[in-house]
Amino acid sequence: MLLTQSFYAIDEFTATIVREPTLKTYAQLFRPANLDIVMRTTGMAVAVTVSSALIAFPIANYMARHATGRVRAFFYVGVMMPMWMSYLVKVYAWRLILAKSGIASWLFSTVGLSSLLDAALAVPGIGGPSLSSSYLGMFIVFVYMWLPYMILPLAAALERVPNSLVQASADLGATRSQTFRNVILPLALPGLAAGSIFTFSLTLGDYIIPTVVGAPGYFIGQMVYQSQGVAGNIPLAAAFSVVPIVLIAIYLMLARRMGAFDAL
Amino acid sequence: MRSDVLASGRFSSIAAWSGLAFLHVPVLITILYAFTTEDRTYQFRHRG
Repeated sequence: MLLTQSFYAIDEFTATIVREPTLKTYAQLFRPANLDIVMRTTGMAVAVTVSSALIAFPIANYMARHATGRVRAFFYVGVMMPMWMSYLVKVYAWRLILAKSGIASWLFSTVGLSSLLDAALAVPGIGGPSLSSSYLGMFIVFVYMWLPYMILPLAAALERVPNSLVQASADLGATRSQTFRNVILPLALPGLAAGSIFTFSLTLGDYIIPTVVGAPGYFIGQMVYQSQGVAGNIPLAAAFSVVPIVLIAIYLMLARRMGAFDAL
Repeated sequence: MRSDVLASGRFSSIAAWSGLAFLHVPVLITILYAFTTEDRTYQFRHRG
């Protein structure tokens, strides 16, 4: 249904959908304005995925391999608790935090690091008048939102790494970083792949965070929402929603080639 | 005896705890705002 719609095109004069198979709508995707949206969304998704993996790894490692008993239970509940809170409440809470004279800037000025915040906001690509209207702020909110979806699969994967392998590696004279690189990381790869599929696809599809926080540039989700709701351009909306599908298919192929699913 | 190679560092436990704290920032803010009567919500440092 979605695919067939994306092969139709809208008549630009009468704004009705011409039900004849054509590639015109896909050609529209390659207009500079639309290509910009695709690139912006993909770039954000990649950045969010990489940094949430970096933040999630210590947490998952700690809760799966180091913490015991109560601390471990506390961590599992603690990671899941933000997921029980309404998505919109969290987004708007972040908007308050990142606002021009909000909590983040108050914190920075109390610690005496206002100049650092100003310097970060002055960076051309990611900055803006305030954190809540810059790509930097949007990035923080995205990372925050999808962090649990990265932590939980990673922790599940790390839990299954047998301690005997780590001990054997240490007995054979491997340093910590060697054990990490050659034993733990390859065994955690399925979890990393699962988590990154979550964060990547959720960032590609989201339209609420880019609306509430961040710079005015459009994202794919917003574009889909607008073209089918306001503009009535269902073919363009369908073509836009094919983009994440293609991107995720490419990503899955790359992940499989790297051997992320060998251990499943 | 726990001979966990990776997780024995002080750094990793600090990183883990601060990551967990990061996850709870908006929760705390929401609770804080639930108990304030101030209307100028976009300005921080108001009294309850």
